[in-house]
Amino acid sequence: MKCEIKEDYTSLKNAKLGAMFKVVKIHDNLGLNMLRRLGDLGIVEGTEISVLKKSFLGKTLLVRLNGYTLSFRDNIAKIIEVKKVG
Amino acid sequence: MKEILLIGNPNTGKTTLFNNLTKSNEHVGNWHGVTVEEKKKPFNADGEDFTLVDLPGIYSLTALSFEEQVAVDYILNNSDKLMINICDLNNLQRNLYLTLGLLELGANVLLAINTMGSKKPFNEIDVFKLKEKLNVEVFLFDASNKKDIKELKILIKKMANSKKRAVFPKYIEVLNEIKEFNEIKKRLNKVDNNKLNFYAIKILENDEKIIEKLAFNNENFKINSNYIQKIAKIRYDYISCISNFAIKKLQKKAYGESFFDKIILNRFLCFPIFLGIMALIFYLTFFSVGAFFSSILSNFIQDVIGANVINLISKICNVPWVIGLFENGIIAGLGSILSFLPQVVLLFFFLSVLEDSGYLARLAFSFEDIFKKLGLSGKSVYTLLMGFGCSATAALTARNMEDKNSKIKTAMITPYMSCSAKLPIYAVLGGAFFGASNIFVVFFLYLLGVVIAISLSMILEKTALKSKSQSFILEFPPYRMPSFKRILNIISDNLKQFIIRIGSLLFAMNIIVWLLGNFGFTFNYVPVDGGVSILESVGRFLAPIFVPLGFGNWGATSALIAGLVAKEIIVSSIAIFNGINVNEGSMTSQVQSSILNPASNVFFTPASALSYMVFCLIYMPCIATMSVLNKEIGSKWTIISIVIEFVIAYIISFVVYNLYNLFTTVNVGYLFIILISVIIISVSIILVIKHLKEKDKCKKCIYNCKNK
Repeated sequence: MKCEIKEDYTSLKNAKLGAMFKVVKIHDNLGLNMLRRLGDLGIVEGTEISVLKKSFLGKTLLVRLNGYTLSFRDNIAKIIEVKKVG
Repeated sequence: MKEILLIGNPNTGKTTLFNNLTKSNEHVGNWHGVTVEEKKKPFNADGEDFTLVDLPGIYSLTALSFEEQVAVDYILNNSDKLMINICDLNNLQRNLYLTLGLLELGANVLLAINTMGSKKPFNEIDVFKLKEKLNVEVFLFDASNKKDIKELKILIKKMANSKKRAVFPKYIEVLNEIKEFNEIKKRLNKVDNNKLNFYAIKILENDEKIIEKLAFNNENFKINSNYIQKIAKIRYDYISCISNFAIKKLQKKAYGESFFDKIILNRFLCFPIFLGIMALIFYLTFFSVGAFFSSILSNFIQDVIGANVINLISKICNVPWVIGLFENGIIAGLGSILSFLPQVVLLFFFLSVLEDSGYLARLAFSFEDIFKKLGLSGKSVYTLLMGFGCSATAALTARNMEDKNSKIKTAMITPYMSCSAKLPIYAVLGGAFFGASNIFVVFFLYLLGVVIAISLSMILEKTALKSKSQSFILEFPPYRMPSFKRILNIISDNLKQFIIRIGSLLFAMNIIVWLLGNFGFTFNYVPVDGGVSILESVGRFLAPIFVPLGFGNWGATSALIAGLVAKEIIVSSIAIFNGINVNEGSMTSQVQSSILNPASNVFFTPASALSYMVFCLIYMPCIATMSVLNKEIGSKWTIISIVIEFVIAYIISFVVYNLYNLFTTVNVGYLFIILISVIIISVSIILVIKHLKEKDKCKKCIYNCKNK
């Protein structure tokens, strides 16, 4: 029997372009200030988020959440753990 | 006078409202963090005088960058004053997050929701329901609508005199169930009762500044950092509860998402598009439209104003030095700067349009990958582009940076972006020696500035100013076309600023340069009784320094010194030293032909003109920029950057001067050999350095000394 591992959780860094994800957890690798800022911007557990575009070297992301657009680097995307929706 | 605070997220139109209410002209743009310090102006609301305070944009009452700290400190120190919280209707949910912070503070809040003048808003709100839910005054307005502004003023007056304070939002019930929250409240026995909840929540959020300020006793008490996100979630849950009730979403698209981004953000097209836009801007400014208006203005100043004034004066009092003062000191000096007014205004106009359009955020996105490697941030794009206008104001915007080292680096490299005041130098000198091909010279100069800036930043990143954790986060504003009114506003504003600058600082400086350049130490008027003027003796003393660069004459040297006050003075000093005759040909061409003549006080050869332009591009910025740098990055780094600027300017001018001479005098084969040897030498140097830096060099070395 073939073993199928369904990967439910991933970091936003590896998220597929255009697909819808839900935030599961924000890790504190980048310090408390980053947790604060992401919280201020509405990136909290349960927020729906999708990646719209990646930059020249694929290191900067343009994402959509809560009806607006935001761009940040993959170091931040890495700490945002997401789950695919639908 | 009572103070009123303007508070809101970045780029929600705080400064636009500030300008509307106080009838002023502070700089605005479609970008985050255009305002980097608090600005105060008096204004009259319905018969009562107030002071309006414009603050930098913030997302919450916890600051992360330098300009946010300014705003948060101001709010916490003035929590009893009326706060106008400006929200962008199109992105209301996110904007309300800050509002909740202000409500927690128990401030006197007026929630002013800006429609941003958009015809198709993203949200529709029910003002009454929102008012009821949040328990604050809500006012929906369009900043360009006069009626709205009038009503807003009446409301401001009413609220500034009321004693009403916001109540803590409903989620206090949720907070009260948290054990730690109650424990903190117990320990905060000295705090005022109505601020207790606010400070407790800040401490629960681990806000170090507040903990320190209140000297919070955290003995045997550790707060889990999970609460930072938990509290944010509580607030956002509350917001979504409110929005279900009072806000209706009208568009499927997200705010800031645009069809154009498919092309503009394309990973291969984004750079050619940017270069194309910049090339077009500089072409229009320097050569077509700008040059056309400049030549008209130059002729007008000289033929109509200059000639008549001089004729009049020589009739009234025929004293040589009086005529000299007017002809050379004032008309030649100011005229040579004023002639470039259309070009400078045009350049600022284009930069403002770029800033308004929303394109800069896309540019920051595209450049972030590369800039990160150079030790900058995508956000530096804004500061650097503004540097093409004015270095001093641009360096101030480096506050946008979250990391101190990136801020210092960005501010340090801003002066290498050739500012608008250097534009006349390239036009006059380049035009005189290179004629039609000056377009390539100008392009080379601007590019040289950018290349030096980037290399310097890279070196600093590798050595003294390594950037720490960089947290590039940037919101995308929507694209906006500037309205006709706004265009007129930009032009008139820049015209006004430039004319004021000419009329005050530059005028005074020109007179001083003329005085020092025409009178000797014994107060003898040099053009009449000969001798050596004060500036000439100083210039002659310093000129030998510049002989290796090709412009070792006293006039060119003195102009450089005078240029430290303002770069425009370089061209006007040349005009003053060489003198013009108002009754002969166009002024710019008179100045140009005089610098070709070796008998003039200031003269160049093509090689030395090029090297002079390069030197002007790179050497120390004007006093205004230096003082901004001193304020922003401290005296140590200011002095270091001044020294670096002088050294780089000297070296590159030297290289340019000698290379140019080499190219024009020596045959191609000889050059080819030199070029190859230079490449070989530099490659070997790089290889040696690389080898030395390699970590496991011991493995490759045959002596195996480390293992012994």
